[in-house]
Amino acid sequence: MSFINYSSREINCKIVYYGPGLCGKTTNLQYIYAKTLPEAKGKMISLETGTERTLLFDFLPISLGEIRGFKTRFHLFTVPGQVFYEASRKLILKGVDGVVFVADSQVERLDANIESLESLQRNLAEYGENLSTIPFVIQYNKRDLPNAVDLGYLQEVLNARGVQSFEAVATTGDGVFDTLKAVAKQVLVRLKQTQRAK
Amino acid sequence: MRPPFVLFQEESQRLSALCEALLRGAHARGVFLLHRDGQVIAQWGDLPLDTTALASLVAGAVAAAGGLAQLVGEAPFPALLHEGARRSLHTSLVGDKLLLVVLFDERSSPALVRLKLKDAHRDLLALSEDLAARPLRALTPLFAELSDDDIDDLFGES
Ligand SMILES: Nc1nc2c(ncn2[C@@H]2O[C@H](COP(=O)(O)OP(=O)(O)OP(=O)(O)O)[C@@H](O)[C@H]2O)c(=O)[nH]1
Ligand SMILES: [Mg+2]
Repeated sequence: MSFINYSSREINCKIVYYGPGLCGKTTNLQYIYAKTLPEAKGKMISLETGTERTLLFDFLPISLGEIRGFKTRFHLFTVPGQVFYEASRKLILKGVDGVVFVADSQVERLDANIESLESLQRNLAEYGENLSTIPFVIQYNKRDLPNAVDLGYLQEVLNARGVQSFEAVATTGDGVFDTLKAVAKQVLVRLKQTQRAK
Repeated sequence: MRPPFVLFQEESQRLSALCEALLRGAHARGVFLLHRDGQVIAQWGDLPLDTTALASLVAGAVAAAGGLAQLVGEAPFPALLHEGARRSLHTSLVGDKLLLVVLFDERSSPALVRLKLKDAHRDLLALSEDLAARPLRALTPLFAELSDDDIDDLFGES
């Protein structure tokens, strides 16, 4: 849930990177961490297994600048992608303000993407949200690999709603900030709308 | 999307008074009021500490403990104690949105912290009820003025 603090003049929002195991969620955060100035980022926390797979979450707080004298801070989380961590994924989605679905473009991960997207919808529903009520973008990652599926086909299978989507190579950073900015912007626009509607 | 959690200046001051009293009464090193989603709402104490990181980890621990409680057929555990050789953390749920974390060392004890938390909880609950009852209209000053251009400006550079 976003938190607006008039005393410290900050807007805080929570963004979750969701997707199947090894699709590149942690790599997205590592790239953002590496390319963000020290004063605009906090410590990155990775709760990992012994083999660098996310166990509970990665966490990276960054600030993207000021709006009308308010600092905008985004708390970026990744979920663990491995199938058996479903309970943890659900916990991390609690209070989410925006979601990035990171898809793995490789042909052999097509089913894993579909299952993960379904798990996202199921878990959001438990909090009374769905992919149309919440700011949501898709990132097609690993575009550099020779076994990457044709973009049109991925769009057809994973993006029936036609939400904003980006091609990415998280290891080199291609598309990483475009994805982040798009979801962050959607969150702020939505925040403004919810405030107007009242 | 759920409405944001908003805290105005005078409410921050009320919180300060309340938590400073807890800090002193419990002889604690730090008191942190967190939102359950992992945001730092307010903090007191003099230890240099990365509170943003603390908040995300505590929220994760509480969420995991809540999942465990459900699994064994129990209501959410009202408090968690992480007891160390020198420093310890006591985390308690305040209503369904807030977490109160007390960091203490050998100058205090779990029993003293628990004792002092009773008053703090009562006052915090009263305050969060006031927050919830506040008219929605009061939330708008920042966003009513915010234009699409303001948001675009933030993302202007690449
Ligand atoms: N070739 C290529 N490899 C990538 C890309 N993005 C990530 N990887 C690699 O994929 C592997 C898994 O990346 P992670 O970021 O750890 O994946 P994850 O989604 O966090 O995985 P879990 O924590 O298990 O859910 C790593 O070896 C990365 O270097 C990419 O765009 N191209
Ligand atoms: Mg990971």
